[in-house]
Amino acid sequence: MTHRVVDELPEQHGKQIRRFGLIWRIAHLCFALSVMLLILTGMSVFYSETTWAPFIMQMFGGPKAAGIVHRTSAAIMLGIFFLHLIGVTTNIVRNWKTFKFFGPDSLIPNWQDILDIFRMFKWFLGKGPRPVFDRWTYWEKFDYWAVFWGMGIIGSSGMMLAFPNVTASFLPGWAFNVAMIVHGEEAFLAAVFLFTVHFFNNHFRPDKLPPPDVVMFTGSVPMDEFKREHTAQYNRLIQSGDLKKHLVDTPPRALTLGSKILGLTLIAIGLTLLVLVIIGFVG
Amino acid sequence: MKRIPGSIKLVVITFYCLAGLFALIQTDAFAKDASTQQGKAQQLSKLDNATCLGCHELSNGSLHVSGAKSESGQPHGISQEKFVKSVHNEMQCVTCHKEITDASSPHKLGPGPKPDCVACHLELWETAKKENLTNEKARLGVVVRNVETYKNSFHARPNADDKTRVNAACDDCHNTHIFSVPPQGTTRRTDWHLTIPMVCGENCHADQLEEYAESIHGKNVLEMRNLKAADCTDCHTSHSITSTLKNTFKLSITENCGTCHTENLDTYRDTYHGQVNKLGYGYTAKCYDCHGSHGILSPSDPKSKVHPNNRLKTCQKCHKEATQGFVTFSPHANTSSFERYPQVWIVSRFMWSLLAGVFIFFWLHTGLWWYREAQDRKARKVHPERRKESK
Repeated sequence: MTHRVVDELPEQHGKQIRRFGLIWRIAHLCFALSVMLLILTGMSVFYSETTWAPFIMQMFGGPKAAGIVHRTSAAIMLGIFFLHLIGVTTNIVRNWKTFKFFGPDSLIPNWQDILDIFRMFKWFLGKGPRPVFDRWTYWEKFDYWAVFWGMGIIGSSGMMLAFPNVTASFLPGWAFNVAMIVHGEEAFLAAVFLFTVHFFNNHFRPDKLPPPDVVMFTGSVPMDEFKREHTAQYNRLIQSGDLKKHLVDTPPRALTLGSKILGLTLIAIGLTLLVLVIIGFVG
Repeated sequence: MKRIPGSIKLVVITFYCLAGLFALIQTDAFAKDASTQQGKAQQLSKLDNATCLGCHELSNGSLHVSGAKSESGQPHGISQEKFVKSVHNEMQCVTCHKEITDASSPHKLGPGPKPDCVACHLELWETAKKENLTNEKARLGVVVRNVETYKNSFHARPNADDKTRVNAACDDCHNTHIFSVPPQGTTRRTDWHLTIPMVCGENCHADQLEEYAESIHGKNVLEMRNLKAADCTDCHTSHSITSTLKNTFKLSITENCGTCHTENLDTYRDTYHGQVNKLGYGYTAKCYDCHGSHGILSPSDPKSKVHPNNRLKTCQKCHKEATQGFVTFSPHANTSSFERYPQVWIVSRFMWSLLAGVFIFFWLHTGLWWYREAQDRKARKVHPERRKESK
């Protein structure tokens, strides 16, 4: 990415735009690590007939130990998810009078997102200009809400399977059959989606090369990238004069370097998991 | 062992047979006079088969040779009729019974070793390999491989009661004097196959045989002569037989049942029970944990362990706190039968549609995006001024 001088705001050298607060970044990292452990332990069972699966099982010390890792990771993930729910609810309640549910700072899908999808496809096909986005693009909103769906589906089916005696005390036996299918298929969906679509959108499209994009670890983006990726928000903030509120110091070099190493490591693990899943799917 | 040309063998065999027949007539004629017979046997300097059969022939009623007693109190009876049909019919008794050096009764045992199937068969195979006849004599290779697997088997281990013996030696299962596996597809083969439960059960595993005889497998094999039903070796294997407590057994048993019950193995592998088993751990439920083993019955049989009335009790063997819903769980459900598993059928189709929908949309999105963004970047390299336009 070429570094471009932000000529409109010469005084903002050494500054970046804040996109994710510390808690969100920690939550994302915990999510990433726990989901990878969940995929590794879960897919070893799901694809037990592959040659790699018994090897992974031995590494964990057997299915019982892997099961504990799986459940612990699930607990971390669900814990973060519920803490996030509490945080978001508190925030909305606190700002009830000013919070715009369908405004640009909200993650709730709105009419603009539908239009953006159509405009994006028009651009793909060379029939229109590249659309510009506000704070949250529709694919980012999808990533956010996909977790809700995933948590609901994988979480609830996982709980049913983790506590079979409770499940079977009020549900018929086919609930287990259904839970098995839902849990496995949804996990496959989540894993493949994360390591193809999510990785591509954020790390592998031509404008993002070379990977990784470290915004989820440093929390802020350079001004030129912000202007390019979130042009509508940039324009809005310039007009309202609120841009300064979002300015933060450029992260120290050590943090950026550390974030890059962490990012590349997670991407490498993710792609390895993707290969394992593909082997299982094809084999 | 030396190799003898076939034609000479034929002559020798014919000679032995005639000699045997002659000996039989002789022994028959003088059966009542044991001392005369003994004297005659001693006169024969050659220890050929005819000489041996003179006393050991099963059918001629001459087994009560004075003093000629085996451990069971009888001389070992050999049916010549069956022996000549066996795979060992060209062999001399003393080739294996090297410790027998005279025709006296009782034998004065010589320094030679007792019959050793393994040593002889290993030697035969080595010879075949040296002579590049491994293809022609492939069967000898099978025997050697069976010997190897046998050596690691439970049967090859010293018997708990009598440490000088193994649990089961070759001739405990294979009657060496009449051993011959008939060609596949023949009625003799069927007869031979159907003897397996008796071979295992009659002398050693009597309790298991009794239980097996009442099972759906046993009734099919023993009463209906149905070869498709499992006998002992189908589940336990033959030469590589192990203790059922071993992990290797717990892993292979599911595969062994699955060679016949293929669909059930497939659906078992879709459950956590089967997945853990496939990963190499024997502690989750295997076929016999739910269905029973030797006494296995049809699931529709009210006495079956998996009959709905008995199912909860069966689940509770492992899932101590199992509740009512366990009874209606389908451990062998599939996604293809709406009639049998409607909920599974519906949910699986919903999930597949969801996956297909998400991936079709987003991969299309991704592919087109990649293409367009790359095109735009190429254009910017050629015409850098267009960067502003593209924003």
